Amino acid sequence: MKIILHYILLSCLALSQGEWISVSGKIVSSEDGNPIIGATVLVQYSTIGTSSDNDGTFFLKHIPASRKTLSISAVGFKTVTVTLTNEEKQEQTIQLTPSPVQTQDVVVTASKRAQSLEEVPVSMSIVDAKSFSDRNIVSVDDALRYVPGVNFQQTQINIRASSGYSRGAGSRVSLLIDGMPLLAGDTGEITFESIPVFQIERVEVVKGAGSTLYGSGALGGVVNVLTKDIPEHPLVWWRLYGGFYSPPVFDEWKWSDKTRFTNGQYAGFTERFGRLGIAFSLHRVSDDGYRDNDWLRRYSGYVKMKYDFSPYQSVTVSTNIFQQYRGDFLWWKDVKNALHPAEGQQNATVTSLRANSSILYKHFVSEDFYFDIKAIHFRSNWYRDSLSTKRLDESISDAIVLDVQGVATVNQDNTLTAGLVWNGERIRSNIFGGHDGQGGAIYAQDEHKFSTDLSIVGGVRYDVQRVIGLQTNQQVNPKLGIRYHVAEGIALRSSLGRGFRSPSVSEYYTSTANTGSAAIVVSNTTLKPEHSWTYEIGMVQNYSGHMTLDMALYQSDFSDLIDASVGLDSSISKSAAVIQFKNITQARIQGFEMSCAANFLDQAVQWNVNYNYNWAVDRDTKTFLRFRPRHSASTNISYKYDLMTVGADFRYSSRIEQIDDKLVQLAPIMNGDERVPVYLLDVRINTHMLDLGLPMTLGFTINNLLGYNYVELIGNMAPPRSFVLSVEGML
Amino acid sequence: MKFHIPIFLITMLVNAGCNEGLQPISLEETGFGGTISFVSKLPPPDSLFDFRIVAVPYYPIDTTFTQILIKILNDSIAYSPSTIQTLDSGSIVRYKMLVKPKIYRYVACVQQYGPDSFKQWKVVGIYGFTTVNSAPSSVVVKDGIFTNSIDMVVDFYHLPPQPFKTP
Repeated sequence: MKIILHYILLSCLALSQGEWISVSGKIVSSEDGNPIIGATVLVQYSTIGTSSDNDGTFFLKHIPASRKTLSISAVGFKTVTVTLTNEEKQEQTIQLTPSPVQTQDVVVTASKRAQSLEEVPVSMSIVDAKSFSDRNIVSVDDALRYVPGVNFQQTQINIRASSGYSRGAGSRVSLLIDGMPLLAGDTGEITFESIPVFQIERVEVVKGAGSTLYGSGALGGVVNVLTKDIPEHPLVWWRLYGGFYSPPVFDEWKWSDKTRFTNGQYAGFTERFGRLGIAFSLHRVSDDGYRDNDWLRRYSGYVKMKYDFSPYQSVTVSTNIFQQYRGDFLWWKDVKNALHPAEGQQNATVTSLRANSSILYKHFVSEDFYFDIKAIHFRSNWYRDSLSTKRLDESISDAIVLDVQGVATVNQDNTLTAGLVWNGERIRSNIFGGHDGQGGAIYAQDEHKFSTDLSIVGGVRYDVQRVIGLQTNQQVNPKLGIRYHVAEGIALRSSLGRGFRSPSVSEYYTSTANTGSAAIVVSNTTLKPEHSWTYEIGMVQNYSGHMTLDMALYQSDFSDLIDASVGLDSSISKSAAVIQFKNITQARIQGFEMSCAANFLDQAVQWNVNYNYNWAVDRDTKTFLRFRPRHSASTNISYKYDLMTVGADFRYSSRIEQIDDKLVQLAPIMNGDERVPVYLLDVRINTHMLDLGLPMTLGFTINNLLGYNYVELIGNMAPPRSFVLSVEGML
Repeated sequence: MKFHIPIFLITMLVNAGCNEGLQPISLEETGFGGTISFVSKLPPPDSLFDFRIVAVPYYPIDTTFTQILIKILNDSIAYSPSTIQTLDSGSIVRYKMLVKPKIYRYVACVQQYGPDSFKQWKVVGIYGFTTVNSAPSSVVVKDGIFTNSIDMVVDFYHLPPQPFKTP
């Protein structure tokens, strides 16, 4: 009771705290005085913030006189803090000093709180909003393909070789949206396409086990998608794009006389009405597909509302509804007919409706303590129709997560983060059955600064997960991390952490004969959780503000990895192979990762290069793990010349060494073992019309310029060369 | 003007590297393939000398094995290479038969159970033969087409009807 009274008293005090300040201004580069677009301006220890407009200007009001320190950050610039005067209305011109690296960026995923990337003891990468529009990226997974240590089996993410290809059942990477998990309740898989890309502020990728803060699923890493805050000024934005795929270069692959088009339209607005801020957007994508029966239509709507009770308290409610209709191209007929689906897949379709709603209440009780209460509901409803059978497979799942977290600055040297989590799932499906599950967790983490150069992070989380009717899975996940600034511009980091993943309902209960093959899938309710230990040592070095080198060595030991076991069981079927998920793999992954970012010619040229090596071995069979490349590398370069920016992205990954031969044989996927290394080159030109008085950007992108033919997933030819023209603007 | 040479070089480089990667390799194979599922333990080595798949255009009832051998030599019956090295109890083996285009009314797995490779053979699995359907199924092979999913089940200890007439 005393705590509640204390809380109410503090809230009243917060609401009644004195005078307000408003500030307007402009954020410019200290080198050339050019305005910086999209810089983040935050009032420290409050919920107030905005970002700079197209001309670098910003406006903030209702800043309490007691908290007049602004923190200004932008990608490519060093973060600065500015203390305002007591004047009621004031103007500021804020200069930011260029920095080619992201070491000054503020991130929120590594420790579940805002902190400088410099302080983080684990490997992290950031993809900013500009990358999405510059490259005309329409799905989050396309942006993540350029992150060092990340690669994909079609839409299934793999961070540092932690995942192979799980046939859509379970993910060893946890996906969050604004810090809240967004994994389907039935399959536990990630559906990147349902995330509204135009609302993305940035994407943070934490590599290595993250279960100490994020629980089950964060075995190989965490991807946190952070949406844009609502600015003070009204804003209307739109984007149109259209393009087409090159026809197949080989006559054998030609399957349609028509040009295959792709196009999309996005539009939205944000506005503040007093204390209420609203963001709303609509989105439509249509793609004819470069393969037979590989078309799609997507529609989505997004609403975000933020209400500031005071400068210290806010509540944010958001809803995203996504609907997709698409052809169901599972694998090719054969490599000679690589753009035709296999027999039985013609005219099959998948319809999915995914909706997530969340609420976030945040309260800065004092400069030393704040807490937030978050809840998210994610409904995933999909069904598959074949030509002859409607709703051949169908599933409806609901997942709810409630997270209460507090962050306290105990003293100058200690920051304590602690929280409680509850989650529940409800699944109704003709292939998974009807099942309910729930779980909970408690976690705490302390970050201790021994000096300005040395900090240590220690934490632990206890998780309980249970599908009703099955055994309860419990797990304690500790972690330890150290960050040490050896000298000016050089920092060392080291961490170890434990990860775990409770089996998804689909892994426990999938039971179907509709695999289109001589195989049936049977349930296995005796599955145990997967576990991992990850160790890492890394270094980041900044060379005179123009180049940064980041390197990491790591090792992950996985136990009880769940994989599909294919075999015969005459008690189940006399003639068909039996597929069942089992704990069958003990694995060790050792790797090296390097990334280098640099700029030249007064930042006109931006360049980075990344390389990742993985030695991923099954410790029982001594063979390389399936569906993982050993080498992957990428580089991109951009050059800004007058109004124009030209850029190129190149990506390489070595030939996948091991695939699932039994999947190839039993499906059967004809020529399923046909695969090659990946060499992918994308180029782009963007023309910024702002200097001509038009708040628009024109873009032209050629994806897969080399027309290189490759597969990311067996039996699935990747997109050929495509040409896309885009135009976007803001008012 | 100063950009012409780099643009020319890049264009040449891109052009030289175009359309590489996977190719639509020729699949003008004629035949069929599928899986063989072994649902029983393998026989002991002294009664498993060879294992093959045969495709016969007719149902070989009342045919002596010597007559079959003559037809094999005349190339009117197709048979696979020896697959004994790939056998494993409780596993599934994929096989592939490249044969002439025609209708094969009898496709079977045969086991050589003794050292006499001319006489000591028996049928251990037939395509289309199940506990419900006791008649073999035909496989139609067309020119330039490879047919999949011609799957068979082998149980060395519960044999299907043997077609051979004792000589």
